Amino acid sequence: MSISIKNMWEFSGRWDISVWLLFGAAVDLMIGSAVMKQHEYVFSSLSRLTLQEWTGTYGMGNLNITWWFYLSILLLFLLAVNTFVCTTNGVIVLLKRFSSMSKQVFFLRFSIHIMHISFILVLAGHLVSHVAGVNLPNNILQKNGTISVCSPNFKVGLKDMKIEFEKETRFKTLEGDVKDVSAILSFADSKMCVQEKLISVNRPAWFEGFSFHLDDFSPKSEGSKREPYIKLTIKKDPGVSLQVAGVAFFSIGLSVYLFSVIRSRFNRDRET
Amino acid sequence: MVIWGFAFCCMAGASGMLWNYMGWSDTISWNHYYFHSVAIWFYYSGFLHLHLLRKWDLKKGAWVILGGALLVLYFDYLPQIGGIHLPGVFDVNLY
Repeated sequence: MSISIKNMWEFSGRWDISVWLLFGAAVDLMIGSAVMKQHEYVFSSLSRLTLQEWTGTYGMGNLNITWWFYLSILLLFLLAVNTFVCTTNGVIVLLKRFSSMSKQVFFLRFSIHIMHISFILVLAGHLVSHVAGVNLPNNILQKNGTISVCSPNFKVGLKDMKIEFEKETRFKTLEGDVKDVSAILSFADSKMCVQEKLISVNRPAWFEGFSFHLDDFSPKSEGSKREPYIKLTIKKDPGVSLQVAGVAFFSIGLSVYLFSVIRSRFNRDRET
Repeated sequence: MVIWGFAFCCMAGASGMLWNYMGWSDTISWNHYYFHSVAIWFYYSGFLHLHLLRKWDLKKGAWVILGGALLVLYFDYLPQIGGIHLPGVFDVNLY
């Protein structure tokens, strides 16, 4: 039994499998993007639904369109396992040889493992986001209106909104169009604690683990008689912190790797 | 050179994830453009790992790079330029 686990571990960590999985994922995603272009309506709902909800509706009902997506999940899972095994083996060997190598060589090789672990973190973050996330789109708020989020005690209200229109601009066709929009939201939790936060386009607000994104608003032209409102997308995303950590560590690993490459090239040029 | 291009591709992907999250509450943009970019990222990741295989050398790797360049041209560049229109002479939609 222990021999077969060892064999499975060694097989999972093979480098040729890494290459095949990477190119396999690339080919599958290229095919998928071509399929997606023809059937975007099937996949666009993934921004609102969890993966399991989507599978129960669009996913399994359109397998002739969505097969590549499930294949990509399988390939990425196998790639994550392969990366984990390769990185574990690599780090063990690297730590054993630490005393016999220079610091520069150690950091160069260790930075590659940091990038690999970060890649796994980002994949895990995406999976957690789309399995465990709570997504509440299409929340319309008018001035002084309130809505409840998940429980009657957690309320969010629109206290004020400000729309700035283009005036006296060089581009005459833009005059009267929206230049900027912002809104002040008031949040009240179960302890009746009230906070006010400003949101704008690409500037969400966070409260009690939820993020509040400005999705749409009205009016969109000056002089419009439409009742002002904002549309919020409210989301609880437990995976985004994993993704941010993965991206941050990947950046660190990549920076150390590139710095080591530049330094070794500089030293080599200086010697010649 | 490929490593630097890959590094900039990673930075572009990371900043795109952040932009998409801030605007639309999701780090993935569920359209074909996003998956084009991710596919090319995996393609170049595969190239960077080719050196692990003993039977691959620089000459074979150059063909892989050329293939990658054609994929970038087809998936990323051509959709952005649309078509070539010279009235009365030439009118072609490239994508």
